[in-house]
Amino acid sequence: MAGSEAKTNRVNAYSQLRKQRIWLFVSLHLLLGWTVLASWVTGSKPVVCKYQGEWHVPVLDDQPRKGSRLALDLIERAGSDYKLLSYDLVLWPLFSRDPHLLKPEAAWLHPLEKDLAGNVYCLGTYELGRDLLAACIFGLQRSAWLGLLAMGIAGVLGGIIGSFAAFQSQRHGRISWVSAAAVSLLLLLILVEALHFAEPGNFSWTGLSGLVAVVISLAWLSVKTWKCRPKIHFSLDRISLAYVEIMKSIPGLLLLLLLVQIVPNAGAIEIALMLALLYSPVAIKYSRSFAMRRIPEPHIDALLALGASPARIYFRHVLPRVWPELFPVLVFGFAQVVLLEASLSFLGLGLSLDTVSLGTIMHAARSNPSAWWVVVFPAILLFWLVYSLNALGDWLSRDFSQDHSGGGSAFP
Amino acid sequence: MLRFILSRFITGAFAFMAILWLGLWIIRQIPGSHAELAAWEAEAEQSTPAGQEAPLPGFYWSIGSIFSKSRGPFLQWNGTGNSFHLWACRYAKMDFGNSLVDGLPVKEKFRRALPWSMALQLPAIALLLLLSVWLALEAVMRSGSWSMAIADRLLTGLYAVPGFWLATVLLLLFANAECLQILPTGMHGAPSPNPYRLWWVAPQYYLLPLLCLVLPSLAYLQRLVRNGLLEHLQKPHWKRALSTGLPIRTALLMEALPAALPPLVTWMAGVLPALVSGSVIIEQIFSIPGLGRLLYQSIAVRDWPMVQFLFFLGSALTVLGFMCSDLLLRWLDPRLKQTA
Repeated sequence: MAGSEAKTNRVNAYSQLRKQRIWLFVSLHLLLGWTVLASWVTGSKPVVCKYQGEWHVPVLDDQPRKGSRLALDLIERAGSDYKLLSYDLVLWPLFSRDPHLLKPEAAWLHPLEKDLAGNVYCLGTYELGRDLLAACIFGLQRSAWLGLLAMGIAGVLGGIIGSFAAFQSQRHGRISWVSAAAVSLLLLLILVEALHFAEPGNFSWTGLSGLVAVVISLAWLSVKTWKCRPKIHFSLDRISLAYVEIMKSIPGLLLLLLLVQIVPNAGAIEIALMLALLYSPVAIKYSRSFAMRRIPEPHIDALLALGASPARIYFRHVLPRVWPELFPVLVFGFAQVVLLEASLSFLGLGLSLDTVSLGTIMHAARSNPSAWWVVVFPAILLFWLVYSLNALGDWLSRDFSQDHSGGGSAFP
Repeated sequence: MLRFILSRFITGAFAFMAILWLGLWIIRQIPGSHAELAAWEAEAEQSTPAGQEAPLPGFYWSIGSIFSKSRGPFLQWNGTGNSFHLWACRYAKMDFGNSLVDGLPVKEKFRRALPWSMALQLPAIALLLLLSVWLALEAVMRSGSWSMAIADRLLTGLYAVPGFWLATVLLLLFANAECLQILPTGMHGAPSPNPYRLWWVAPQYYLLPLLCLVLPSLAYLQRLVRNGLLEHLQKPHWKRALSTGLPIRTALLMEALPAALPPLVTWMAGVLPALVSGSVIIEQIFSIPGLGRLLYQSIAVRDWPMVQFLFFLGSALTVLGFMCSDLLLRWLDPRLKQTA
């Protein structure tokens, strides 16, 4: 019931956004299309090709399928340049420019300036002759994906942990310490043994059957003790509150600057994980407070009286009501994460400098302050992305009087 | 009240311990830092020459790694012979060590950098508070007028502008030989080495950094105050204030504003640690030799004693800030006493 109601709300929100804020609707769809389709629009790899009777979609993979004719010929005959091969059938991206191709002789060209071979660069080039237009297209894609990944991880994990902590603390789903310990031991055991078995030569039937026996007994123990009411019970609420308190007390940027140092040459996924760690307390805090408001409602009591299980109440009646309220917080967080990543990369501490993102493009401009185009164009894209996200967050939270921007920007 | 202060102090101290341990653990995880720190610690203790001994354990107890082949005891008690204990003892004696880069005492480097951060951050915070409260009052009083509509759009736009981009664009516009060269690009040729005197001698050096600190956060704060005001305009005590015949501006200032202050006080908790890490990017761009730039450079050249000290300072100030804001909130909002 609650699920279908939430679904109707979602559909309503979508059509209402189109009616009330048409510019935002269009701009978000453009951004989404851009993020999904960027590598189909520009790049030096074909979108789809048929090579000696085999179909390939090179934009989706870093390398062609191993052992295929294309993979062999690409290395042997073409030196990893797709352009030098002849295909049966091929669909190239709209622009063949690729920011990863370096042409040091054509560095720092002004917009619309021609290089020696007569190629025109719409937005000019920057460091090492990278094409700025292509770099912007890829950069916006990378920034948006990175923010989405970070906020997705922080939002899903934080949302579930926070609301479950609230649910558990409000009497409905007590977990005993025994059960909590058994569940965590179970998960740890499975993780460690999976890593152990994954190494070659470690597999044995006796080990596996022993593991299965232990897993079954632990699972039995955790189910048996789940609802028992011992004097001391496991309070996820206190633990998550302590986590929020501690994370809140560390200056975020300081923590991030140190975390970035741990992984040398961090890739987009590592940076996204660090940003997710930084934003998880915000998600936990808000989802906890939203769930706290939902749980005392009378229909939950009615459900309990009808004999609904705690799991059913939590998953069908608490969680679906927390998501719509949490969503604006996550959208604001998304915008903040994108800005934070851009600032880090701009300082030269985030993504490695040969990875193209909006921040690293602007980092390049620091070595040549007179190259105004390298600052202005990526910055406009960054502004567009962040402004649209903030506007979406504003629009989504218009019904709630509270402030949802999750602690605001890194001060000041 | 005393009981509240005491309990708040105790939880604050526990949080501080946890944060310190976490921070030092993170610094130890950075590749190479362990060996550099161990050599430095051995030198500081003057016990054994560096590298002769196995590195000290990190904390009072160590947990055996599940993933390593050699499985030692799972939980091992290390006693006081661990680097956290030694570090805490040194800090308790106010001995913060020497910088690894130039051998200067950490205290001395901090003393040189602090005035620059203060001279930049304190005016920025004051300006931010004044501007945001003023803009919020204006927005409430003239809601619906076209000037406020424009101001609202501008502020929302500024909220989406990162400080580093604003700094770069302002430098391109006002400190560029190809455009306008009316403002200095950084503190290189500042006429006075004293940051406070520089405000009198040549305030144009502070103009751009100040703008870059204030403008991006202005929208957030103005929203905070405005929403608080609007919420209180629907309550009965506001009708009572209007019925006394006060002019609307006075009524707003005397009645609604104090009630809208608590979120601002919570925000103010972040002001103290902002002295350390609040302006890393801006100080780096404008080459202001303050604490933020010191932090960035110490991380870049792997000057761990300096980083440890700045982390200690930053987290101490954050915990302190939150404690102060909690106390202030209880004073501002007496209802909190009943619920707690």
